[in-house]
Amino acid sequence: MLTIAALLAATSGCLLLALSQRRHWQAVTRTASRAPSSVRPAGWGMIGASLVLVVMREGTSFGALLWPMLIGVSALITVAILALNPALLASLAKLLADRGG
Amino acid sequence: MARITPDFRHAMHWAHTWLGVVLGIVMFAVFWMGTLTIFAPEIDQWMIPETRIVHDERDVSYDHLLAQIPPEARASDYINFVVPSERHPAIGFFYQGADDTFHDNALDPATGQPLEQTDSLAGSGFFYPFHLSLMIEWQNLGYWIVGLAALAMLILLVSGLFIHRKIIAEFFVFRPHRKARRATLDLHNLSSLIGLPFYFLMPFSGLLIFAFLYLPWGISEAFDGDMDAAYAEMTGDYAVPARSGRTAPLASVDAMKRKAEALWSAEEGVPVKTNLVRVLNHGDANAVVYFRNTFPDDRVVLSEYVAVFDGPSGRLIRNFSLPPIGEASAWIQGAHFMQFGHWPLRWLYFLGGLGGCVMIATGMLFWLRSRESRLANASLGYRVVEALTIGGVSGIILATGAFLIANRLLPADATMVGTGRAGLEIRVFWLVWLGTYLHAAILRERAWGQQCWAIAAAGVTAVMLNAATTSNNFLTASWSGHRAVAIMDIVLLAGAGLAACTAMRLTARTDPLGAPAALPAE
Repeated sequence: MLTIAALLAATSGCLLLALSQRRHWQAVTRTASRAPSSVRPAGWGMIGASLVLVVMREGTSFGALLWPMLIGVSALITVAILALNPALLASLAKLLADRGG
Repeated sequence: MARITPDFRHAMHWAHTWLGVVLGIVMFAVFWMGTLTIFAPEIDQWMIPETRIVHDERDVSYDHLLAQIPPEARASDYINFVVPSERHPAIGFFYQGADDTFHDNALDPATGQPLEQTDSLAGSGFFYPFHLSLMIEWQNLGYWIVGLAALAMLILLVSGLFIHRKIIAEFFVFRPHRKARRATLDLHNLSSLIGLPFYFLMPFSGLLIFAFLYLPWGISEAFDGDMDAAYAEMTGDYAVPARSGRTAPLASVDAMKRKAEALWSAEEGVPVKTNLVRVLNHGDANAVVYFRNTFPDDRVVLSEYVAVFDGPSGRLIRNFSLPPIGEASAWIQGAHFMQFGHWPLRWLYFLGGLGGCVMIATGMLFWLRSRESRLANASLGYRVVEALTIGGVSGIILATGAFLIANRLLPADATMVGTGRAGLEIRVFWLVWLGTYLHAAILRERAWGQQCWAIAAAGVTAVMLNAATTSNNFLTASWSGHRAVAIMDIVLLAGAGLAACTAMRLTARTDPLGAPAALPAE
């Protein structure tokens, strides 16, 4: 379960980091706006959280191998969504925009 | 902070381009075969159906086995058993005959009797050695070529980071619908960045494993040039005395095994099992019994413990455990060998390996795409690289499929011009691979699509032949506990599907006048 949680944390981290970039934010929202400034630190926070979860579940020895691979898979999922159907992230972007004012 | 000048970037670009063009095919072959090696034991079970045994945690008695092996083996100086496990359910059994030839058998763990095995080198005997030596044994040349490719890969990864101008801004960017050249570069950058730690780890750890071959001097210096002494210090090897000529009965090997495992488990704090049981000088007063936990199941590190016993008395004469610095090196080696029992990580390695294949293939494709308008019709060099790229990428995958098909089709007693069945399977691999280069040289761009169709057909054929020639097909295999066979079949079908999709996209986009086709890896 912790591994799944780590993958979810890493994927949401990658999604947030991608959305913090103007190119992807604008493709998702179809506006000329910018992502709230809190999106990027939140993304890094989720990436950090995934590392903590992996180390808790696997220890450092396996964690050192598993975590970079999980980040890679998360980045791949993020890229696939952005390349094939960025609109999937519209509601997430709206939520972030509303929260971030 | 030093700035990256245009000159520096240009130099990096030059190195990246030409190392990639010259060694790309070797890197692809090593990565492809290395990726298959991750599942070598499962491939072995698929290709040698007699070893499809459902593993149970029974205790094998090595005293019993030693009593029932053939007299020639019992008289051997070197008898080696590999303890069965879930991934290697048969007992591995090797011995050195009186004429110094090595005999490699598998024993049924239930009866201890030799299994009548299909004569095939399969995954562990072909894919695995191919990925570290390309099967070129002459003067260790293959090891040196692979070492050079590994070093080149490290240089390519570093130089790639310098020449990629927008790593951060384009980290999550992939534009499959842009022009083929742009899409190829996007895919190259994407596949490189998402697997970067893995791509560093693999060539680096591979070079480290063979450091004693590539850079022996630093190691031998500390041991006054005696590499055997260095090796003994690093791995716990024990210098076995020659036979004395006096016969002496062997004490209980099972008792020694229990003692070794108890010692290791006490030291580690968790149960530690032996993987190797080796009897040297069997029946002689100088007999020695050697145990090793080569592949711990629940840890990354490789081969931490060795225990050596005096054969006739059963007395412990050497108990080796890795010193801390050895642990560091053993972790890196263990990370490469990937023999631990961590299935999610094993699949991630498999994905990482395929990602590496995509990275290398798209790198070579980008070289072609960048030059096709200028050179495609005029330059011999371009045509050579084009044919080498097609044969080196889709060709080796097709040759692998042909190897599996040959394994299921060749009769048990097949021989041709002095080559036995296992050798013939490998001949088929090489011939098909060579054929794909010729095919690519003649048909050029169109060869991509045709070879992808052939890969798809080969994958489906292999699965059908497995169902027809063995008692397991992919539907029944998992019911009967043969998970390895079921997964192998499913991966073959998935690979065939992927190849067919690629072939369809290639064929759809190929201009009838022979203009450039689309990406095979899109």
